[in-house]
Amino acid sequence: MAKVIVSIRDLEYTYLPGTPLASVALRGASLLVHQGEIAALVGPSGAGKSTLVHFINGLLRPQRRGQVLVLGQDLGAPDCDLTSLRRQVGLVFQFPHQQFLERYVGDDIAYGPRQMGLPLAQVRERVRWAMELVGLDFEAFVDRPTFSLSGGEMRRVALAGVLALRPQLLILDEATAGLDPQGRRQIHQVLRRLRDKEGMSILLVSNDMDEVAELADTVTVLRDGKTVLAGPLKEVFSHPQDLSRCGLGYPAGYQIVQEFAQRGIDLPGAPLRLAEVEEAIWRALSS
Amino acid sequence: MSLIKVVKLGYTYGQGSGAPVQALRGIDLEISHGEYVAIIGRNGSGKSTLAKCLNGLLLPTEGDVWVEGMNTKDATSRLKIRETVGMVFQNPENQFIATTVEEEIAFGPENLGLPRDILIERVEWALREVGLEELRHRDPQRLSAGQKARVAIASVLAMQPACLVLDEATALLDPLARQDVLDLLSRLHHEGLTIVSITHLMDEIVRAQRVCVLAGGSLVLEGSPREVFSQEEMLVSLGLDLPPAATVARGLRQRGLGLARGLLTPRELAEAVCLLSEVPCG
Repeated sequence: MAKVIVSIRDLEYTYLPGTPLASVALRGASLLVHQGEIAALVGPSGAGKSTLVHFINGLLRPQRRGQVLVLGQDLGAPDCDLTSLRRQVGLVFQFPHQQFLERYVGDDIAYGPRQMGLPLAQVRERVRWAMELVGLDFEAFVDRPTFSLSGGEMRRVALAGVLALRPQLLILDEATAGLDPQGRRQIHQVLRRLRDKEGMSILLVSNDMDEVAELADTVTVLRDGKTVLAGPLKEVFSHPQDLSRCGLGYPAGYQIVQEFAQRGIDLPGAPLRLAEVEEAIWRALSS
Repeated sequence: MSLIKVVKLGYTYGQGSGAPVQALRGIDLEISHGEYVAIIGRNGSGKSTLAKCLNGLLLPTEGDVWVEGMNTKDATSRLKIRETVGMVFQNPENQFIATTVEEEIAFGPENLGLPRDILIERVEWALREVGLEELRHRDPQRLSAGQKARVAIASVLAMQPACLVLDEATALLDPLARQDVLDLLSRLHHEGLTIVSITHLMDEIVRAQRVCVLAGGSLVLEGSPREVFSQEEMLVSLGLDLPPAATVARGLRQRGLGLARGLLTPRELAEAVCLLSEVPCG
């Protein structure tokens, strides 16, 4: 079993506790992320996904109940080193243009490494490396103004800016919502490459079950601030009624398998990804 | 007479400036009363520009747009055109101006100078249509994303338009809220409203009556969902997705299986495979 990078147990959290505006956001949330996997965090809006994510790099700290361990640090401990933690945990939000700090692509990606006080040559090396990872040609993009980018390019620049810090854990909060299909596929390829080539751990917050089915190794389902299902992808999707109670729907691959099952054709191995579904149908016909 | 008629429409941003950008070129399109049309294409293909031309928010730099026989360039018809074709955008909070849902919905018809009793009737009707009666006194900014989308739709409905144009109105909603809005749209469509929806959402696209594909500012493909998704090579080369069932069917066809093109749903795929196989299917 791979090393556990993030371990959150029974976390409770109330915004503005003890005031008339108090609102309970988490009531027993748990989350595990292992080294080198893509973990998906899903749930309807208002389930507490973003609140939970804010604990992982110390934007929020545990109140009374629950434990948050990230990269070996206990976030409940008063002496935990948030600066080092935030360098190791990279966060990419839904609206990338809101996190641009510089006018030019190269400068923006270089912002983080510069703040870390790296020498110029090394900063440049990091920028080149990060741009290559996300598939942005260095020469073509380094001097482009950030406002002239397309939506898909903006996401990739934002992602490169976070990657330039060489985080051990990358968190994407709805980072592909609103992108066109090709832009989404490009981001998916980047994430797979980061996991497979760089061994990076990735936490993907998403509402798109097709995306989750195509990418994720493990899934955690949050509802009303509580973890209701968690485990390997196929195991979680073997509880369809629980998922639909959370208003989450099913990935397209699952629906195809169901249609075949209704017609007496069993597609073994509970395939979810479209390529696996295709393979399973092919085998069922060949046998 | 068609509801909207687009003739040789071209639109160039920054015309006369140093760096003009041509967003639309040579678009011919007719939309009839009662249609449900989905407009698809990559980011930057001109979809939103086209939408804004449909009710005169943008005026053609080439060609013409006619709404029920009125040219959008004719300033005297502009109010009537905006009453006829209403717009809903992706971030509804950008278009909220009032502090309660009720006032938000009343804003449009109020500005038409309608008498008070008719105004009240319209607001009540619009609230009922989208199921927001209970939330009428709430601040629209403090509602959930799905509720905000419904407020935005209601405030346009209160103008009693013939046509609703939605620019990725469901893109940022969670699956449940999205299904809610799609159900609402299909009910409104059944009641006779014409709907033009710019969308990346496959579930919505395959249910539309007509799909228009934009690429590089031109209308490159148009037809029923089945006709459009039969053009697999073209869509793939444009960077657009096929429905999941069609993606699987395409893979199986490339392995030599004689499956038809344009299979849109899991059911159609399963039925088609059953017909091919020796396996007796229930």
